[in-house]
Amino acid sequence: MMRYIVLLLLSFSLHANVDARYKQLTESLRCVVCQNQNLADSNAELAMDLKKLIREQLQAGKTDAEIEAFMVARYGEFVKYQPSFSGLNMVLWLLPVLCLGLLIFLWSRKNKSTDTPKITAEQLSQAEHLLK
Amino acid sequence: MKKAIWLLPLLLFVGLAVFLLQGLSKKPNDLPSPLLNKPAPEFVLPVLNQAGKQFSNKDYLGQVWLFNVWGSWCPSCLTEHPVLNRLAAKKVLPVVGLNWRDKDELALAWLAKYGNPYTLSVTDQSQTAINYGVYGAPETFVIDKKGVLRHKVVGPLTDELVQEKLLPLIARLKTE
Repeated sequence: MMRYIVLLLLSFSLHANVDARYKQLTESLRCVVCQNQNLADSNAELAMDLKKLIREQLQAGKTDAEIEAFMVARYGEFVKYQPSFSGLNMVLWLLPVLCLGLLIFLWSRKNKSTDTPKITAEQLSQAEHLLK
Repeated sequence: MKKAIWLLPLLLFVGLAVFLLQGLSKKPNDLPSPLLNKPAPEFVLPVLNQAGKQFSNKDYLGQVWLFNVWGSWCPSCLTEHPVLNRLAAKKVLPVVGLNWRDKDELALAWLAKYGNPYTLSVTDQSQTAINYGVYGAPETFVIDKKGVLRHKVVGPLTDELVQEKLLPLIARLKTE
């Protein structure tokens, strides 16, 4: 009896796991028919087929990375909402950091150029004398 | 030097404007296919209207052929159909249809009504279409003698496209 309960619980938890990963995957993949929608939200026929396929692959024990690779191999990098950190995409990821760096650089230069000019003690006493 | 820095925002703006301007002329529906110049995905599928007969992409190794995704449910396929009929009449290469998500009787009625440009059509629910990265019908692939995917057209073929792009490409692939 106990064995059956454990088995039942195990199958439930496995199932829940598949559901969670299915949700996460279909939300992170683009529906190529209606390109501004993710697969999870799309009711296009192709999206339905793709979702069915993803569920089948999850149940067959494929990892998330394998399923993502499957999609990218067929539809290109475009199907992923979050572009990978490689190749030309590097520009996409690093540009904000570079811009920030440039801003900081310019800002620090600007500050330096408005520093008070250096004067000698002699010049200072001269100025004080003049102001008196 | 100080003046040059004040020019920077202007330069950045011009750069951004040029970048965005060239984006306007791009067609967002034309996705680059990662499958181009790779061996065409394999399939063995039943042939429409020939009970028990199957066709595999390997059956046409050694010739250049056209693979066209269509369905009787697809309005753009109807737009494209006369172009495909004219191309097939030239008899320059076999044209294989992928009858996608269709019912045999509807597909056959459609071909009877509008003409059948296909050497043969295979029927597929979605598996093969997905393997070919199809996201809407019609789509057309040119496959070379070695079975490599060489060109992909998304959306309906036009006479101009056939004349200016496909026929020269096919002629070149035949000599390879």
